[in-house]
Amino acid sequence: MRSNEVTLQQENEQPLDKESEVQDTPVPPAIPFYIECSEAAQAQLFNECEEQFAQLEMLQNEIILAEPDSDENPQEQSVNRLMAVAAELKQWQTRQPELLSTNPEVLLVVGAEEQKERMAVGVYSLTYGFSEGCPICSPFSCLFFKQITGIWACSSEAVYALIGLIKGKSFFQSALQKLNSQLELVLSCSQAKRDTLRETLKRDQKWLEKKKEVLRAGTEHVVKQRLENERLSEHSVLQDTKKKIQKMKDYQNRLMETLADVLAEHFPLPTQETNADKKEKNIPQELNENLISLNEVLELLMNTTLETPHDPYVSIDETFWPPYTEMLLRHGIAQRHPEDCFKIRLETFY
Amino acid sequence: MSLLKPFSKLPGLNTANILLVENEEQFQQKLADTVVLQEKTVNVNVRLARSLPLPMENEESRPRIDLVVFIIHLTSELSFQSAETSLKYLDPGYFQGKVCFLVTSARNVSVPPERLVSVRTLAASLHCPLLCAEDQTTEGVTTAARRLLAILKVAAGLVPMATGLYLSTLTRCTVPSDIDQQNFE
Repeated sequence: MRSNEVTLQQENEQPLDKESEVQDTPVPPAIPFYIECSEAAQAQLFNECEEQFAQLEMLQNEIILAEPDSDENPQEQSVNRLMAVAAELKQWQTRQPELLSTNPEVLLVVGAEEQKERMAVGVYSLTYGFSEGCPICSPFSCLFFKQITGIWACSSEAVYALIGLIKGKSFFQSALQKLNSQLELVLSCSQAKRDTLRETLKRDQKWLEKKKEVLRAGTEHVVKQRLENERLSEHSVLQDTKKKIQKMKDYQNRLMETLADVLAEHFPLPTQETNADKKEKNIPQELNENLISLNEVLELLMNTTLETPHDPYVSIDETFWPPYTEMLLRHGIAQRHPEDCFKIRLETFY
Repeated sequence: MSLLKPFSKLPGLNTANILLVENEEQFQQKLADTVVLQEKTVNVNVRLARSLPLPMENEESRPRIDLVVFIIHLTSELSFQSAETSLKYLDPGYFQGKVCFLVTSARNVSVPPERLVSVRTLAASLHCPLLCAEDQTTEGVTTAARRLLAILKVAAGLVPMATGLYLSTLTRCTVPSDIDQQNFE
C-alpha cells in the first residue's frame, strides 16, 4: 500500500451513518506552509495521483478476490502472521528509493515543506520537551524503527538525539536531587538522634552519681549501726554491768578497808594500860574479854540492816563497849528502838 | 457471515477511519471528539459501536475501517467479556496491525490485578498493542487520542515506511512474566 505524500488542498468527506458516527470538522486548507505551485506542475501531480490511485484500486480488487476463508484457529493465525511479515520484509528488501515525481517544481515544494516541518518539530519539542517520544508518528515506532532498521521513520533525527540527551540529563538530575534530599533528611535525623543520646547520657551519669552517693551513705549508716549494735549487744551490756559491779565492789572494799583503818587508828578498844593513864581511876574497869571492836559493831549493824530490813534492830549486850555505843547514838549514826532501849539500829542514810 | 473485513473496500483519499468499540459507551464520545480535534492534516472519521457485529444495514455505506480499538474499563468485568466476544466477529486479517486495545483505570487500586493480566495475555496472544489511558482528565484523554491517532495513521498507510503489521510487531503487548517491569517515573 503506497501512500501519497503530496500535500494538496484536500476535499472534505462527510458521510453520515446510522451507527453513531462523529463527523470531523472541515479540515482547514492544508498545511500552514503551503506554497503555490504552477498550474502545469499541479496538473502533472494530479495525473500522477490518478495513476497511483488506479494502481491502488487494481491491487484492492485483487485482494478482495483473493479473500481467504475465515475460521482460523490461533496457530494458523500465527502462521499467517509470520508469512505476512516475511512477505513484507522481502518487499522492503527489494524496494528501491525513487523520486516522488519528475517535476522539479514539485520536488522543490515538497523538500521545502519537509524542511520546514522538521524545523517546526524541532522547535516544538525543544520548547515543550515531549515526554512521549516522536511527536509525528507515534510514541514508539520511531524509536523501534531506529533500533531495528537503523533508519528513522519520521524525519526528525537530530531532534531525537537532542531530546534524548535533554531527557536523560534531566532524568539524572532529578534522580540525584531526590537522592540528595533523602540523604539530607537522613543526616538531620541522625543528628537529632545523636543529640538526644548525648542528653540521655548526661542524665544517666548524674543519676549514677546520685545513686553512688546514696550507696555510700547507706554503707556508712550500716557500719555505724553495726558498731552501735555491737556496743549495745547483750554481751557487752553484761560485760559493762559486770565491770560496774566489780568497780563497786572494789570501791566498797576500799571504803571498808579505809574505814577499818580509820577505826583501828582512832577508835581502838580500850585496854588496861590506857585506862590507867586516864583520869577516871575509880571507874571499875569491867573489861570484857568479849568486847568487840567498833569496826565489828558497825559491821553487825550494817549487816543487820541489809539482811533483815524489816527488823534492823540489834540488841545491845555486854560485848558492846558503852562509850562507843553512846558515841554512835549521839552522832546520829545509830538510833534506839522507840520502845525498847536495848535495841539500836543503823540510821537511815538513804 | 458478519465478519468485519479489513481489505474489502477501497480506501479513501487522505482519510483514516477508526472504530471505537466500548461496552459502556461513555469514554468513546470524549475520545472521538478529541481525536477529531487533534488531527488537522488527515480526514479522520471516528465510528462508535457498542460491540461487534456491526449492524448489517450500514454494511454498504460504511467505509473501510483502518483501526479497531477495543476500549476496556478495568473496573467492570463485563467490559472485558464483551470485548472478548466481539473479537470473534473480526476477520483475522485485522489482527495484523489493525486492532488495538485501550485500557482505562489501570492504576485504580480497587481493580483486581488479575483483570489487567488477563487483558494483557489476550493482547499478547493476538500480537496487538495495549494502551493504557486515563479517562478522567482532559489531558489524559488528549494523550490517548494522540496515541490512537499515531497508530491509526500507520494502520491507514499514511505514514511513509511504516505498515500496521510492522508497528504491531514492534509495539505488541507482552505479559508481565516476559519482561522486567521498571518504572522510571
